[in-house]
Amino acid sequence: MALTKLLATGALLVAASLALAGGQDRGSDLLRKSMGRRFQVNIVAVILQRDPGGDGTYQRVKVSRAKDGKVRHTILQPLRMAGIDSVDDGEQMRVYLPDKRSMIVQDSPMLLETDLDERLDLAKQNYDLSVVAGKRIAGRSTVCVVASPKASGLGIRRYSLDEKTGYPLRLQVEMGKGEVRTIFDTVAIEFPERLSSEIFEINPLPGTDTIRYTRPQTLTSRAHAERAVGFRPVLPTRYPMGFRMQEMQVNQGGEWKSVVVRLTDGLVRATVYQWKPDGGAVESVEESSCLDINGIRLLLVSDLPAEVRLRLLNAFTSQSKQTEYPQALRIIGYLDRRGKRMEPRDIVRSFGPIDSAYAIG
Amino acid sequence: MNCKSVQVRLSAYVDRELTGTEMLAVRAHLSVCELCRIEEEGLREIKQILTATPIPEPPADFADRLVAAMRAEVQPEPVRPRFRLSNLGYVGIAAFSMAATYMVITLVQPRPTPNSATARKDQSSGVAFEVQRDQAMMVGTDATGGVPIISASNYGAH
Repeated sequence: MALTKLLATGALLVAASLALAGGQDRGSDLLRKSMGRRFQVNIVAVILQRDPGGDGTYQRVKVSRAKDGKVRHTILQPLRMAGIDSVDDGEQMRVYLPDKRSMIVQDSPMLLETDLDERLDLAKQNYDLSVVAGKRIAGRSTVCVVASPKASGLGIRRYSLDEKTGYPLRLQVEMGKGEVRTIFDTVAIEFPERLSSEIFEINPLPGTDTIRYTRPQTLTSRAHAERAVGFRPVLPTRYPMGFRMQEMQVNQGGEWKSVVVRLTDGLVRATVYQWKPDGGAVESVEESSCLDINGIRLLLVSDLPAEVRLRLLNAFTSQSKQTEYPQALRIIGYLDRRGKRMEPRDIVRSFGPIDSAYAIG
Repeated sequence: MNCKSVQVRLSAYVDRELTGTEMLAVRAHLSVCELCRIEEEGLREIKQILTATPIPEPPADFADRLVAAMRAEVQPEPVRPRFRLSNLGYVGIAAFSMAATYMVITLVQPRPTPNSATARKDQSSGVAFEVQRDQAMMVGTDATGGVPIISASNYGAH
């Protein structure tokens, strides 16, 4: 009798772990589909998205996305932003600010290398993924991927994906204390057979200024960073809550030069900007936490809860004295496409000629 | 009180038309919210400009010339000339009012000057804009992060 109970319990445990693993894999597969840059259909949608400057209010944005990856976003509301257009054709992202008669041109985010397998492996390390039936959103049936963090403080993330296309229709995050934050939500969506190419053109008014920005350049070491920006950035050897460094870059926008440290736990992004402040007051940047260390200002930007942002930021201050050049070089964390950490010489090889010229030999 | 509810009351706040409790709530919010404070300053400036701008006076013979010009275009009717003249007078006054209103609106349109609220906001937000621009690039790498947005509100420092 006891043996039978033991066997039954064992079978149940095996079944439960298989189901869990199955949920993990299915969740991961669904997320892979929704994180892709192209979908099998043309999409026209109206979404609501948190307005970073709106104190909890939402922006209403029209999204037109072609099968080939071209995207146009037009802000409909609030009125102070209405009419702002953004077109990403896979090569360039152009943002037209009609009130300012300005066009901002920068490289398309689609040109940035990302490795979904690498990202999802990290997500699976840090989250338990499960799939549940979703509600109807904008008239569409959905499945919901629930990502429950293993670390405390991070919120449960619920990705509601269109059942047929995998297109993300809603993202909600439990912020703790009962607060559920909707990052974005879809109010209307359709899948037109064709989208006119004119949709992805912007015709600015005469007299519009065009401002071009270059893409952030990858930095291979702290010394490399110092040559680029004039100071050695702060780089901890490890990060809390399963976060890893994705890349270190130099942001060459305008007159403001900063080192950009990109962190991720697979699903959430956090960016730490580091620069030498000129003595001015800290500017107000939404969803950010800031501190100064050894004359370097660190600004962490992420939609994480404020206390989690601070925990992450504290990793930079608590470990800064231990960071030496060889360690710093090894913790750059630039992973190759197979997910292995690259040795310095391999990192250098993986960059283009301009980066190699700067890299430490 | 949040930004949305403050901004719908700002005009009344500047004109001192709110109740005491509302005035205090708006004032408290303005003391901690830069965005709304800039909005309030901009609104005050526009109101000051509107109040300070003199209403342009039309030339003394403007009404006479307008009526005369209209008379010339209208075929004279054989009967009831007095009544027709009266109608034309009304039309003239209406046209004059419209023209004057148009002139006032045109003259008092706020123009971008270094002292305008927008310019002030731009000059102090270079980093905020750069961060937003960079974040837009990262958000744009896949569709699960939402929509990459660069707002005009903090652009202009370059």
